[in-house]
Amino acid sequence: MDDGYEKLIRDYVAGELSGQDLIAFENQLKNNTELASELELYLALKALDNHRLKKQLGKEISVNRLSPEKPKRTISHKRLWWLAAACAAFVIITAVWKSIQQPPEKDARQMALELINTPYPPPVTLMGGNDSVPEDVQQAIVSYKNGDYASASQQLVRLDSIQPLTDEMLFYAGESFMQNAQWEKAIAYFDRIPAGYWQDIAKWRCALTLIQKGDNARAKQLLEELKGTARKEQALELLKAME
Amino acid sequence: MTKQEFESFASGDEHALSGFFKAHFGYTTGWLIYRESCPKDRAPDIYCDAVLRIRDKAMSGDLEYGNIRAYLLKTAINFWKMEQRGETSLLKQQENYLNQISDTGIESEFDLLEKVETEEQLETQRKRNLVLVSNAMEKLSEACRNLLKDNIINGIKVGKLVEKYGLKNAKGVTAKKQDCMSQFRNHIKIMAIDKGWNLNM
Repeated sequence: MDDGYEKLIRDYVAGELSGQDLIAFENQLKNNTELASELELYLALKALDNHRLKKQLGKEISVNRLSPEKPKRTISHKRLWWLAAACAAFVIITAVWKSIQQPPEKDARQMALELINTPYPPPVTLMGGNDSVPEDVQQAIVSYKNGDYASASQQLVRLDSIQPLTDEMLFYAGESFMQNAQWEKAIAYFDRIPAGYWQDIAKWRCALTLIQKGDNARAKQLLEELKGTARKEQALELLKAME
Repeated sequence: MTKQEFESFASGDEHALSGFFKAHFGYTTGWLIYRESCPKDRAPDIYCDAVLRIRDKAMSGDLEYGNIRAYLLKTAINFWKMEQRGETSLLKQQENYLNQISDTGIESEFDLLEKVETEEQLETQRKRNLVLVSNAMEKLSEACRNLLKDNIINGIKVGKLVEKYGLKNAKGVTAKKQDCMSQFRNHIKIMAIDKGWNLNM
């Protein structure tokens, strides 16, 4: 009898064959008398030997007073599964809750409004510098510094009618109108600023104003122009929000 | 369990079997009782079955040295689950029969088995086989008995028996085995003819 059959016989007798293996082996037993004979011989021999050994081992229990030991307390598999399920549920609930709580992605109009609500810093005047600035301009700057944008814009418009404003003052005129939500007037002042130091910041504030006004096409155009300046990142962010 | 202890256990040494049985009794029966809700009076028997099954596997080379305790526990739990499902292996059926007759002695079964013609044929024949094999084994020399036990019951490979029985080579073991087997079968045949029993082995 070869090794393969020997193993099959052992497993069959021990009740460890199942499924297709069991069906195949039982079919072989029906057709192979030699195999059936080997099985019967092994079964009888094994049963007798096991019976003898069990008697012998049974004596060991009483002679050595062997007794069961209570297993140490560990987390049972069942409990572990419950714990894992509870953790998973907690993670899912937290994720769902967070997604509910998270504010929806800001749209371009909202972003622009937030940026507008932080007024551009007032002009910086060096010590004694104000002496060379006309008194009317000084008053407009003070109004702007105090957050009185209505007065600042009025004063600057009045000055503008007397003599052309500097680029800087044109900007603050636009900014003052913008802070008062007078979008068209703000845009008009920002648009008057020629190329130079104040033009980029004027384009930026003008784009924000245009978004508020609803003129996204022109706002996009200005933002595209700003992609080549220091405001590239802010311009891109706003453009993305506008898509 | 050291590797050396495992090798003794796997060679069929009954002293090593006894040591193995004692070493894992508390842990395994405790687990069966407290974790698997096995009745206290059933746990030692199931444990004993598992130890003998592990020994079979170790002797036939199906089990290697490693985490034997975990494998033993798994085997014991499987046996307990089989019992819960009402499944009984062929081997267990034969052992149960031997338990029933152990008080009167196997010799007395010769008369008893002649009266049980109404029982199912295969079951009767298997009971007869136990009686025939038991008696035929007694009639063999100790050397033959041990060789057949090691090779047929324990499944120890011929190569390993060369050293154990002081024989020259595998051919020597095979020849000796064939001689012992022939004597063994002859004893069985004579007894069966004497009793007028048909043989199925």
